Amino acid sequence: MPTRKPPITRYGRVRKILNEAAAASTADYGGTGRFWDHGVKQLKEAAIHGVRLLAPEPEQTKTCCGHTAEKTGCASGSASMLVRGLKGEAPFDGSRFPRLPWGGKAVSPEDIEFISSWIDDGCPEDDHLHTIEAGIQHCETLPVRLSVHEIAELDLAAKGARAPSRPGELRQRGNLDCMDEEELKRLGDAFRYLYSLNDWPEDIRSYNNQALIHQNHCQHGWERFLAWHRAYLYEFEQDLQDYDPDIMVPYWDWVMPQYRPDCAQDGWIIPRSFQAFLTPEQAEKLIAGLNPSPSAAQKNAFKQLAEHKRLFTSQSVFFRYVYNTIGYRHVTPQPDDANRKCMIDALLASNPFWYPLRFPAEYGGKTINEAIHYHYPSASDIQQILSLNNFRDFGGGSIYDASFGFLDQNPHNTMHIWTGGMNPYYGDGKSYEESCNTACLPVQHNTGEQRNSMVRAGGRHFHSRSDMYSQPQYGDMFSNLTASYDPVFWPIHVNVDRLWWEWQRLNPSATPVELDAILSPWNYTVRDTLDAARFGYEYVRSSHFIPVGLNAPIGRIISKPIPVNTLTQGFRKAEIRLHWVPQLIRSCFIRAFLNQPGADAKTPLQGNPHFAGYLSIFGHGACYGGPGHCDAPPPRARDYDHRTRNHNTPRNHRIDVTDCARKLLATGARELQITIIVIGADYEEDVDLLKLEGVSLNFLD
Amino acid sequence: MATYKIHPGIGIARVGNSDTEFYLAPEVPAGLPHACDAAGNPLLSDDLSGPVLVKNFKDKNGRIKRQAARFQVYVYDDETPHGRPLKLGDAIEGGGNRGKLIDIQWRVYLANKKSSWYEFNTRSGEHGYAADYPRRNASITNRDRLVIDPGPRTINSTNSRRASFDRSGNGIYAATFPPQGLKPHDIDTLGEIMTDDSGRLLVLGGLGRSGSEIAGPGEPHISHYANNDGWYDDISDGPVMARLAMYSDQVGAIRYIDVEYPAWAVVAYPRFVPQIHDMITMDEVLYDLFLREFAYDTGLYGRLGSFACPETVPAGNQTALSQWLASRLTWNKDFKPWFYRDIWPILFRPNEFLYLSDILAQSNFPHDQEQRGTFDPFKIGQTPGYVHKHATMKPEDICRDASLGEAFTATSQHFDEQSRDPYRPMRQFLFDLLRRSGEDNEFKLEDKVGSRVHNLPLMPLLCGDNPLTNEVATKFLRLTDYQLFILKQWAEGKFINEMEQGWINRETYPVFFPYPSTAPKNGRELDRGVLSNALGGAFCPGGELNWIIRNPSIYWEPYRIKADRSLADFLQSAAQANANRQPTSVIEELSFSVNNPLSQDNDFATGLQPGDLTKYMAVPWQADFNECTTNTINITYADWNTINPGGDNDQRLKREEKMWDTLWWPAHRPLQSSELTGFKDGQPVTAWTDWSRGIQQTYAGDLKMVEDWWKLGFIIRNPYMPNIDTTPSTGPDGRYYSIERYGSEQLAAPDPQLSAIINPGKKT
Repeated sequence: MPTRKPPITRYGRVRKILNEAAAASTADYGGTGRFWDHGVKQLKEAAIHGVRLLAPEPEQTKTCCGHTAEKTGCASGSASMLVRGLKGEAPFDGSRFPRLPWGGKAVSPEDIEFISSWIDDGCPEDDHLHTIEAGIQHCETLPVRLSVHEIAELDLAAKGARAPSRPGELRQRGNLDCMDEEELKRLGDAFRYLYSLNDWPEDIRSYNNQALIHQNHCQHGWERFLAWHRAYLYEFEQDLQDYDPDIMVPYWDWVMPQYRPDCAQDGWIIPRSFQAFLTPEQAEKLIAGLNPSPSAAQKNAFKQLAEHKRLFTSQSVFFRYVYNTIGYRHVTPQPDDANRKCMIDALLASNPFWYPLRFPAEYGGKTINEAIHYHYPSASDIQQILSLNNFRDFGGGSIYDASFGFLDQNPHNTMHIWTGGMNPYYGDGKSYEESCNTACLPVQHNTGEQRNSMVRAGGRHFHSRSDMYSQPQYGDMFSNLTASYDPVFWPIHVNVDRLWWEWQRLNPSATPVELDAILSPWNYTVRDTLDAARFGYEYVRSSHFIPVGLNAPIGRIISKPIPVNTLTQGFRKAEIRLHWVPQLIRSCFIRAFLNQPGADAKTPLQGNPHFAGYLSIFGHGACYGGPGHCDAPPPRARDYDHRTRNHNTPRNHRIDVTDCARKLLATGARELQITIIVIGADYEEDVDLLKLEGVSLNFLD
Repeated sequence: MATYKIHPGIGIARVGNSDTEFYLAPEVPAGLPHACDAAGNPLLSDDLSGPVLVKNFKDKNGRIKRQAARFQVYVYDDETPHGRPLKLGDAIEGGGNRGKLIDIQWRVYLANKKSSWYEFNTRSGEHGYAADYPRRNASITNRDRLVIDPGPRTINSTNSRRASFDRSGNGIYAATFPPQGLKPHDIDTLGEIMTDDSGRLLVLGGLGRSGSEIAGPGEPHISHYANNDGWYDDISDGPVMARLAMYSDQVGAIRYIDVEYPAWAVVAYPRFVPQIHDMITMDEVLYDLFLREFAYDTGLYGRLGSFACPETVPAGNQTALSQWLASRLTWNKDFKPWFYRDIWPILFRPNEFLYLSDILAQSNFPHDQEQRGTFDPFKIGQTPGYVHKHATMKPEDICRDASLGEAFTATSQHFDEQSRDPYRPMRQFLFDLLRRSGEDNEFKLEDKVGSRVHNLPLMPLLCGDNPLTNEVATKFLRLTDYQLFILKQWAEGKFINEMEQGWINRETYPVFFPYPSTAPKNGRELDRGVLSNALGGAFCPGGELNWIIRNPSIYWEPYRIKADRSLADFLQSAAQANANRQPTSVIEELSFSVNNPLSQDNDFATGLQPGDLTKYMAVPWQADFNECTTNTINITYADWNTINPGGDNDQRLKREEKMWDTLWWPAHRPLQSSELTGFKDGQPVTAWTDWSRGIQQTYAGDLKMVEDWWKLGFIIRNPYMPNIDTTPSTGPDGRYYSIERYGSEQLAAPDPQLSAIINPGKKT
């Protein structure tokens, strides 16, 4: 038989790697010498100066819940001190010890990886290099009990309907782009209501009068910017809520991927809900109103616009489409052109958020970078701004050094300029045949800094038809004087407020200098605005409420699947909230699962990708009082009941389900279905305990 | 995302009366300063391998050159999480903009608040002054005029590269200065700032001028070591801020962003012995403070039981830090210090003082590092169980080692333990001699129960923060808690000897000058290297700064002073400069508007103002400097510094009263030295003499020091002595001598070879 040279074992290769790296070094490693050379057993036990190079085998231990759990710090290769030492990571980073091996040269990353995977495999002594195979792990299928069929899945609340507002519970301002049609409609109706009040010029609630507050009082370029606008948004939100109490003003997160911040002129430009489109009804009206009447093909083209809800970022884009693509040519940019008026009327009637005096991303054929020397904000810009560590840099300086803050100066100003834009049909005698480039005047070098002097406010009748038909040089968002007449003002400023709210959590003690200053025209001081909770809101990307009802205890809650669109998926945190839970008589655990409707008390938690989290609730125990002592208090205290909070006031609870939700969505899930089970002290389900008003799933930015 | 920080966080400038010449502060422990050209650019050795070290501390007119504190911007990003120096032309980002670094603007605000501050009296005020505590110049009601406030100055690296903290206010600020006509010297400037060709900032302090505004017979006069009404000096301190200017290709415009937080410049008196460390350096005080109060290294000092997996206390989270501070904190008993990096530099130091004072130079060398000595590193550095190849003693010889004294007989050792760890008694003896926490006032332990070292004085035997009064007496200096901890580990044998491990080479390692000589690798090493050359005690009031540096309230984070940013930052925000489209060549401070003068008080919650660190120090500094040679400490009772046997006619007490003449800090204020008197056969000839002879230890001497401080010599390591770094000191062997004393400046540079010796080229 031919003698075959025995192949080198993996351990042998480990020794070879380390000996080659150690070379001629005489380091004795605190007395142990070349610890890798004395066999696997010794290597597993080896320690230098008290530091174990390979952690002991993980022990199976029972946790208090009766489940088996691995001890942390298991023997994985990359976590072992040997591998850390070879990589030069702490404590082998030169602080406690030098990199391993001492006195020799560094081991290559490939060789470290080899050693690491050998450790991962349990440091086998005699396996050979050519016999290595990845072990296949067999997963047992998770047991599914069938007894849950009779439990109905709970519906989501009607869109736009909020959780009932309870004392102390914040309401959610959400992400504009994550709102659905129904929510947008309710918001749009409220806007229309405020527009309609413009007919009574003395009515403070009218849209124009609200916008006039900004025209007359707004604060920019110093520390009062953020505080003033927080109050302003709150006042406007209250105005909307007078019409529809469920309305919360949404925010426009400009840096979401659909806006393509690095080449923003190729992205959405502004939220789709704020772009021009025709409803079928308005398309009919438009066709009927045109003179001469459009051809049959043209009529059909107009109807197609409505049918496909084709979006236009501005009137100029719309009219060029009508003129050049649909081919209806009896329209000019003249403010008194009747057909143009007819079409603007139809667009206004179709979308309450569209505004004709808005020319986003239009700068005479140039980009904003070229024309204005400002750039559309990106996510990393915002990250940089959020990392500023003092209020002046972030939000502006005080009266003695009236200075812009970065949030104000850059993204805020830029978004005004971006959405305002420059009207390509400013001036006389142009035709929609011409491309926008030729119609534009050259841009002054410092247009960005002088934006407030660019727009004429005097003599205008805002939101009147004649104003809507006019052809100004710049969009109204360009200037502070006119900005809030354009409804896109609100989601932009809500986002500015949201960024301040985020920054405040990072810098809880950073405030403006003059906290006692009055924010005219209201009576708020700057100090009053520091805590957004005072105004009753928080920011979430989107929120889904599942009403349950307090009438009877519920043993298990299974929601209908909640669709999670791609826009929502970039959340920072996902949270399940239990709303208005009365005191429970017994203690329990609440376990939450996602996309595992059959979960029950026996469903494993360890290694189960559907287990989202848990919380424990202490039971209140038996009542020692007389009848009524432990009754749940009324939702709101009686008038003049100024005593401290009732001990039985229901609570809200939160479970952080970020990791679970993120992993499920990353592996293809497009919906999330909540299962909540109540586990009693005996680790069985307790179906006769939990009462609550509802459950919600919230995605936070 | 990139963050930009100024390093060092605290820079040390030093006064000099040369208004033309200066050098750069040393950035490594016990390092010589670096030579630079008139624009502040460091000179490089002929082979460009390193800096040219300073060999002349005085200019051609015999005046002391100033030491510039140099500041530079480091960038921290994913590529270099520990930071790297930022260079002009680098790509930078911030505030939502990105571009190429084209300029750095620097803003510095120096002030001197000494004359309006409280009287310095030992430790009083360390934890706040009472409302009725006496102020300096108490009779002056216009307190603002006592503050030297030249206003801030801003420069850049292109067209406006110098500015002076003079009386002018730079045309935009109503400066306050002492009246002209001070005796003996007027104060017309606190110094100046400039940028070098790489955009780094140099802060130059004052000219060492001090004077009194009181006229008349007998004036000016000095009557106290720290408080002298009518007097001013030109020491100062204040914040240093930087603004980066970038050209953004994206928008075709200049954009600005400020660094993360200000740094701080401190001006002090000259370091006359640059190469000998103080027994405790400012770096050591701060490192200990940050470990214990800022969770700086939770693997070393942290929550009991957490050392296997040290916790992270998020920076800037006061609640988390308070929680951590309230937990059961302790030192990691498994921590092993390194002998040559951590232990030996502490033990090495005391012997160096024999070159600076008669007391040690003429004694029997208690800190002897030779083979017969108690401090032989090759014995006390040997780890348990390690059989040293070079060991010349057999275990049974140890008992004949006279240096072990009583400690050995007091320590019972099993024979096998003794052979395994023969030098354990030596280590334990040295550790037992160290003054522990709570023993600050003990001269020796005598026969107390549990006494470790019978009747031997505890070490260090140097003055403490208050050897003068009976209020919070602190007679003697003691090592920091961290130092004592690692020395305890060492005494117990829990340490690593780098030579045994093969990390360093016995033949070449500079055991007898055990400091790193390579430039700092990152910003933190620069912070620490700079501070290692400043005094860390005793603080009465001290060298550069006093006990205020160990107050956690004055820090924003480790190694960074909490600054009142309304005074530290540029007057317009960086975002405003962007909005103004300001060209980088224009430095916009014209909107400067202030409605309060610099404060007479502290506001630690807001941050420190210019002048708030040095205001505690003696005025004029020369008085304290002159007197801080030795102090006669009354050691009769531990708790009392002053007793009055005369009041009770207590003859017994008078008879039993005991005193000890104690050194302050010889490395900052030498007493004696070898002085260079000439050369013979190319070798220096020296004479042992009083270092400040002619200036007596009296108030008249203090006044003379105001005039003559610049005439004193600088004490350097003898560049002619071979192998000086690898052979132990044999007593006063001429390895340090004083040069450039007034009248003998020409002796300093006799020989072009000297330059080559001080600055050897790289071996090829």
